Amino acid sequence: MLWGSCALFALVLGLFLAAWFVPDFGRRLPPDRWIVWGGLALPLPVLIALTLYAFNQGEFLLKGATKDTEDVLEVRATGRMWEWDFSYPTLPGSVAEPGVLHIPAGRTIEIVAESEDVIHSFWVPRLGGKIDAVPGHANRLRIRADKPGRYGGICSEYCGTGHAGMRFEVRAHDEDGFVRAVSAETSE
Amino acid sequence: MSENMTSGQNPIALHRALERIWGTKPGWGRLAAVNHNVIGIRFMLTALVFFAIGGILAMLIRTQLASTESVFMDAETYAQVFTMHGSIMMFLFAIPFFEGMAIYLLPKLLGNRDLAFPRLGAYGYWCYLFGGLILIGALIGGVAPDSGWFMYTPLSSSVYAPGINSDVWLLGITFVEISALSAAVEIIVTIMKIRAAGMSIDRIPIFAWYMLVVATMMLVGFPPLILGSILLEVERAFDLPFFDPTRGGDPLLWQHLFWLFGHPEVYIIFLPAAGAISTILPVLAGTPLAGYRMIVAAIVSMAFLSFGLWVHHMYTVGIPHVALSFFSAASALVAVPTAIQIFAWLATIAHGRPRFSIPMLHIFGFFFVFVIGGLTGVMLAMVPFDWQAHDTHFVVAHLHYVLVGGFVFPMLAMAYYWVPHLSGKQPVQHLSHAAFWMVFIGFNVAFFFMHLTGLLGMPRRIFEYPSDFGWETLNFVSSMGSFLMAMGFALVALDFILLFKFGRPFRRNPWHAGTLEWAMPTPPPSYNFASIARIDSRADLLDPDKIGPRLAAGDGYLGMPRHDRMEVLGVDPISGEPDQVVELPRQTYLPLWTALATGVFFLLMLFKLYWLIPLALAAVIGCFWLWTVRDGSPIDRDPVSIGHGLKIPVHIRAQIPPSHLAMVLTLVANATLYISLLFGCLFLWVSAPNWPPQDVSLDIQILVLAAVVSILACVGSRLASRKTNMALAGNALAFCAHLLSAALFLWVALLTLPAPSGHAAIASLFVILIYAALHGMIGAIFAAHAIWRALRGHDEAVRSLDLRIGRLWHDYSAAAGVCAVGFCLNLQSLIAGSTP
Amino acid sequence: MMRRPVLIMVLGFLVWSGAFLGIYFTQATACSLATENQFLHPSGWALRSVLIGLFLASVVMVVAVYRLQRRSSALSGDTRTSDFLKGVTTYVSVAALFSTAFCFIGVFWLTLCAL
Repeated sequence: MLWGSCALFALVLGLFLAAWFVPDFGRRLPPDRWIVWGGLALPLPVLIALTLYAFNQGEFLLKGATKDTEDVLEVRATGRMWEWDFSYPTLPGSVAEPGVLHIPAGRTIEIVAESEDVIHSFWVPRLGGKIDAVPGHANRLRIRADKPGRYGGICSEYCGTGHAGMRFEVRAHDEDGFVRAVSAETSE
Repeated sequence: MSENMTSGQNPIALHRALERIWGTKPGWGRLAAVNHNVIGIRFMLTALVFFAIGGILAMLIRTQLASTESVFMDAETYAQVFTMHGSIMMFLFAIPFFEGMAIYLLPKLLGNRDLAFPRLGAYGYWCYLFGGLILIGALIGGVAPDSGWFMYTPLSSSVYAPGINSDVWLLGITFVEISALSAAVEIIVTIMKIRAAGMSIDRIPIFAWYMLVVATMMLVGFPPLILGSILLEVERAFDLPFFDPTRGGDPLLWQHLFWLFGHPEVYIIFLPAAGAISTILPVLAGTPLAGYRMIVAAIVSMAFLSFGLWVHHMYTVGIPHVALSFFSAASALVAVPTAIQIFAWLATIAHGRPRFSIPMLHIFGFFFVFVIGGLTGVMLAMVPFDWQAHDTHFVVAHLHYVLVGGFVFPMLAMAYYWVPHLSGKQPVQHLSHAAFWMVFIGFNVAFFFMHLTGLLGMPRRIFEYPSDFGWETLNFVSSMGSFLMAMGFALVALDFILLFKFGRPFRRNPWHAGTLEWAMPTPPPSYNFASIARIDSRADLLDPDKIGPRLAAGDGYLGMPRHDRMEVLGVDPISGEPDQVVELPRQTYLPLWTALATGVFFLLMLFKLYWLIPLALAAVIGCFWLWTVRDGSPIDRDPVSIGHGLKIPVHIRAQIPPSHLAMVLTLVANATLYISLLFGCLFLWVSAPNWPPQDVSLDIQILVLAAVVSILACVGSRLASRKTNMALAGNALAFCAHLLSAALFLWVALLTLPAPSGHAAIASLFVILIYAALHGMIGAIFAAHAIWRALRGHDEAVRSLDLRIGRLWHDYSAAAGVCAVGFCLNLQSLIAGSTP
Repeated sequence: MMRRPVLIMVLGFLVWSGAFLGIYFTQATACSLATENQFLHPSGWALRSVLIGLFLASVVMVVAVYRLQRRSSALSGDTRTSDFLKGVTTYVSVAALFSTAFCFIGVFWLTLCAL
């Protein structure tokens, strides 16, 4: 997409400068042809292909960027001014500390984003995608961390004066580490 | 000119006589100005002052973000600053500036003397000024809006924003929007009706086509925002929970209403600038514009498509993918009309011999910046990419590339092109080059790197960021670039000041343009043309050097001052043949008084002095009524001569006078608001949590009775216009029926409904019934006006204009009443059906 | 007489606007009712076939509008002005047809409801 854009930009600007400074450039092509070639023939195929590709890519991401849609772990993410709380409705007895989301690596996580006050937005830049936490709605987003590690997360919808500091952390563990992490919380 | 015109009078004497009629009086008389030259320039100057204020706020933002953990501003101040920067640039600079430009230029390009409704233009200006002052006053007082320029609820609701800040935005911006709507009506009617003779629809200048499309978009784009503002203000003031999820409201309703306005808004800002380029570029290239028809078709298509992509601001709010796909596809398609225009301009350059000039340089800046903005726009239209980049600095960079590229650079191009017309002087051009390059380089440095900052994950609207994210260098570079750009703008300002002081005077038409605005002396006289031309080719292929002197000598139509009236020529919208003489109202203080009364209304709302509001409303209605009193003077019943042996009727006796058309357009805007309201209520039923409400009891008999009575009002008005001797009785029937139906609607809304603050469903029913009641009351005022005229002995058979305008309102308000009743009953049964 | 040619010009896009509202509203309403009503459930074929039906109907309507415009008296005549109006109307209607066919194509295979 980036290189395509660069090419189109260079093309349009090149034509502009050539038409301006090179005498007789493009004069043989009648104006209607200019418009049909540049205004219809050039953008339409690109746009159609891009849109259809994006539809399918979006469909793929919706399912958590994986073919395997069965093994999904649901995590409830609740935003409030100005922190995030996480809980695991399908893992009874587990407790998570505020502002830290423990997930198993290599498994699809379904975030259910909710809000207790104003609109927040759940975003972990390196895990892709974001979803707004709108009060009164439960929105879903699938993310997945392929490798264990720490990933920074932020609120990306302006939510008041504490917006800039509304960060959280995602810790992806291997399967054992994850079980330990969510149960270790209980023992603390 | 095709015809043999009558021999001229003395041009100087003609000029004096016309100037006496059309000119704005000195001293306090300036406040009574209605002339489009004066109003247009006031609009533009005021917008530039707001641009400077918005620019200073932008510098504050960049100072804050230049370093990590900056202590320059705290979060609260920063919130006010970025909210006001966005709001000022959008509502107080961009829209009013091109309105001013259109008000100044359109009558000249169309070859006529003034706009269709000079008083409305003046009223719009005062509303804009007073609304803007409210916002700036709040900024100085430290209580400026602070919830972001798109004011998402519930952050802007009374729970999370208890102060006056959000009220300032809602009321101030709505006040300013009155001027946008009035300008839209005025521009459409002017382009349709007030043109030079022979200017058929295929001959109107391309800029007028653009403005026609833009004004139509404003007419249906602004009502959803106004509705949203009203609903949110009603929630804040009277606790009707439209957006409160705990009581059946939905914050997403605000987002839909806001972006239903907000995205067309981008094209509303871009299209006037594109229109200016389509006007200027062919002149600079010395060749006619390529693809006139294709451009017209492209902008008409663009106007529609731009209303089908508002949800692309809401990809992350949890809307199903298939619904996102409609908006995504429309967002991609809207790039095609833009591409058509870009290549039409390229073809124009290729087929001409472009001159090297300052406006051309700015058009180069436009191409460079806008194409980048358009390409990043296509990227953002793709749902998966947007999920990543949404609400980051990538979007900030994109929107500035689109708006600065699509509006500010073309604006500078047209400033350098048309300021000679405005001042009568040509630029000296010592600073122009340096100023352009400073703005251009500064802009690109500031915003190109912001794309990268965004891709590195920096969200919007944070007032500080930690040092370990690697954002600091890029932010620092952006800040430096923005300071360079600010200095560039200062240099541009200085350049224009020097031009006004030391510019070289010129005779006529310095650019060798083919449009009619150069067929007049510069700076232009208040009446533009001493007589009105008949044209016989497209209005950008004329020869102003030949036409100008002949018009000044009174060789066209209406070249004779008559009865001290301000006369313009009205034409058939399609064929361009003269069909009426429109007599415009003279200079008056009424627009100022009316705007002051309107301002008092908004201030009372702001300071929550609700018990005084009926007085303010009465004052506003009284002022507006005074506008109509002097119309319909009893002379000139017969068609009048306009010269060259032509006799045509005066507008009050014409078939489609401008004011009739204006009423139709006003009702279109009103209907858009109403439809948005009905769909908004349905949306709550579909989407909002905590539905259905416990108890919705409607008094069905009374509601049906109210609908029947409101139909009686139409019957009354029809009787009155059908037979002259029934005028009094028919209007009396309409008056009583309106009052009765309003009373019945109020009865149901206030006395039989459960408390509207309990649930959004009841609040919706309440607002719909109030809407119907309000229309009944306004209808009663129209009927009362008609009764007053009948009692004064107006001959309604001949001069039925006021009655016909009233009838439009009576019909609309009856339809609105019937719809309201039908909708309420349906909603009630839907709720009953879904109750377990 | 006066505004008719311009109204006829944009008729195709008015159909597009109506289709937009209709399809979007049907989809949203059905999704909201789907929790209670099995017939409307997004995994079933009912909702998708209704949406596809609406989509095809709107395409047919735009084509009908185009044929109507060809025969309309408001645009007939040999003058320069009516030639201009005819030309622009044709462009706009082709654009409307393409937009209608392209905008709603997602109803064939994309996820219908966020459940």
